[in-house]
Amino acid sequence: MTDWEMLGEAAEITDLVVVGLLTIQFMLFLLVFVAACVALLKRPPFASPALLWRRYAQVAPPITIISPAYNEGFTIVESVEALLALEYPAFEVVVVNDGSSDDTLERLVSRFGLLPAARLCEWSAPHAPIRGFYASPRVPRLLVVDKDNGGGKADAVNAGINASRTPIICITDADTLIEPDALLRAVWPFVDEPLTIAVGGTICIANGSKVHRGRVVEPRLPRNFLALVQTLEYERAFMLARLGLSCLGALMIVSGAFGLFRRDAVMEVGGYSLGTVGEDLELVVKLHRHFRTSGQPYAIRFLAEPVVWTQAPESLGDLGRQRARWERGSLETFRKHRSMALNPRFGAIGLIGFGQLLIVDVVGPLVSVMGYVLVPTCWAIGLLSREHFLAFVAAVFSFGILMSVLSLILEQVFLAKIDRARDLATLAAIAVVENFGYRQLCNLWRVWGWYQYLRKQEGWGPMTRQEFKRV
Amino acid sequence: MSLVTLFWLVSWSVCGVSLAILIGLVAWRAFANRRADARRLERAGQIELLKARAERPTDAVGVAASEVLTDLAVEILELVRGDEKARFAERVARAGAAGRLHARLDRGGTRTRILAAAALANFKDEGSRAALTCALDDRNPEVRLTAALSLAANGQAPPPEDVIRRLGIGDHESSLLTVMLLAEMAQTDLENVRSLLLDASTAPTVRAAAAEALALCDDFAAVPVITALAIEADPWASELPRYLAALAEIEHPMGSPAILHCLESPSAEVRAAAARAAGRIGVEHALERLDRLLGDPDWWVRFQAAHALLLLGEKGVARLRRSARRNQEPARETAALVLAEQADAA
Repeated sequence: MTDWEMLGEAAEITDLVVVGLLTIQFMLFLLVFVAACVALLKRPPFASPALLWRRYAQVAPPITIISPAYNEGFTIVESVEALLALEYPAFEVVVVNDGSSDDTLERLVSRFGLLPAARLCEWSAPHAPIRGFYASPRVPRLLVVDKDNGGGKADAVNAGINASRTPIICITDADTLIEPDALLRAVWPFVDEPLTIAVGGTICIANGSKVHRGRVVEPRLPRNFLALVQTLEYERAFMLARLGLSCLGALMIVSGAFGLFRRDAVMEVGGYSLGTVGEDLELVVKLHRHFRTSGQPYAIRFLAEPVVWTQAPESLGDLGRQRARWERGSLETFRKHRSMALNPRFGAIGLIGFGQLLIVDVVGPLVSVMGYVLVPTCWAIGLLSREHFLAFVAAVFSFGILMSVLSLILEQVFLAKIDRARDLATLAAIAVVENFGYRQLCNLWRVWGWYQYLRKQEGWGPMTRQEFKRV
Repeated sequence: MSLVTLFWLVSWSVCGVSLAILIGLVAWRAFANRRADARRLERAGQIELLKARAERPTDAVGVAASEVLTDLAVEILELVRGDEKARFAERVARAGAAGRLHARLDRGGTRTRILAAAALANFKDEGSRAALTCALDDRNPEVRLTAALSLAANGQAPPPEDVIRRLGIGDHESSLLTVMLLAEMAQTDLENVRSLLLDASTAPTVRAAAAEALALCDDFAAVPVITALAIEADPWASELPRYLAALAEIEHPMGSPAILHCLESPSAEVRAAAARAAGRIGVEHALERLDRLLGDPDWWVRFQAAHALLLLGEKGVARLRRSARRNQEPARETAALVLAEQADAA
């Protein structure tokens, strides 16, 4: 066999590896798709707020909403007012000022007439030192925890968890807009299935939507291309993937933007782990590990209903940094809990959850980028046959389009929250267009995340704050 | 045809089909929006009609209930209360709204059946009662539970044992809504709900739910039974904190023996629940034990014990002050901070 023939064989093997991995990714997607269909068929109806209130108000457990804030002076008052106005029978808002260098604390103190206060806390979850607590008899539902900056959201949230006293805690971000009835909608798994330890909710992108007093009053598609593509990605990630994985008992993440947890379960695993950028993923994996190992029955659920709105990055720099950070978070969690990967002892979470993490997040970006570079090059110089090259093209583009299109079909059949034909047509077009450049770019960013992970880079990097479109 | 070529053909064909379906859905969305606009118009018209006839409460609604009017009627019934609600329900039932809900409950999808069962709580006619009773045997547990809640809200539920059996409460139904269900049933059938507590063959989770339900009804007669159950229960039993929560809710001193007993429990969850109940009831005999629990290894127990001492008044506060001066952690910190919180609140 000549060197050229050997190179040709190597090229074919590379092509088969890339196509094989993409096919496995797609098969996993189909499994999750079917599970999501089942979950959507079984989910309780979109009840009116009045009906939700009548049904759950008397049995709904009290909730502490924990909202970490770092340099949020510009929006903090409006955010806290929106949180205090949520529709729920019994809740407390704990704002954690994570050593802000701006006037976040001063604005809160001035607006709500806060005074230094004492607070008995459970010091179980680790965090940077607390400087003081602030409360006001005028606003008994609000507590502000002022602490040294701990270098991450996990640190701030842990302080909030320690200060909380309710059986359920809700973790959110200060720049997230929560639907008024989100808590009532999200609490039902805790009521209907008391083994529930965590509930995640669907996050929608608010870019382009009109916002008034911390509420989305007119949902609209973003005008920015990157935000538009992310709208579709969120459909895939939240409505389909997380819902399906939840139905399979393999949900690996409850987003840091909105998640409800049983406080005692979070305390049992020591709260959020510090020094990680994927703290929300890591916490849920820790919960799975703890409850599986100790043999306690539990459930982690996901809601298809949109409950919160967030701003997506609109520049390539911000988006790239976000995706690289997500990749680092996945890699950190995978490494830390690698003994669970493909381990039948951990059931669906070990086989499906970690299997997906391995194929999609750990190996996926590397193999994909290798394929983008090698396969077309080998075909161009005659090392690879046309058929093999076409198989690669089919796997990269047709599977990508299929995944997005199936997500949109599922959304329309079961939820139809995209209620304008024009918006749906726009997203259908995006489902095709995103596969020609955007997805490849995302994989490059994720490979960059791999590089950062190997270099042990920490922190979030600079992010530009997007403002909501206020009316 | 090679496998690779087949792969190419199949993947693009499936992709093309799914895109075609999506394009179809876009067209369907445009059509559905037009239909929704027409419904909105009809709804606006119905609202005007209802407003016009509101002045003559004895009239029927005046038109046969369409799907739109049925939905509108349910929305309005959720908003109004008292006699006004009863009159309106009667009028829309005569127009056929209840009948449409019966049909939805009988033939709709799961979500439709659940909503129909919930909506029928607004109608007390015999037909609605029959439809809801029939739904107690629905194949979906959520529909069954919703139907039972609606029947109970109207005081029309079958005997508790029958409902428990048909819903599988204590077996595969563990929703906390069963507490609300039993509480509603106790409004009209107190004896039978209370008998669930006395019957040794009742599942422990059902007994716990019954105890909590009776507590919500302030049924003092249930206190001795709940007290006995709490004393006899295994200290690690999951229903024990629920018995204590029920005693705390009723706030009757007859529950004191169970609380004093449970303050010594090896389970932190039980100690915390007992401490909370001691504060709510005002069990002065528990002073010494609550004082000791200020140094409990479990934070939640310490917190509940400190708050219970506050609720016990002067004597409890004196204990807290004494613990705050002592040099024994964590009792000192707990007592000092709870007293400081109390001062801040004042």
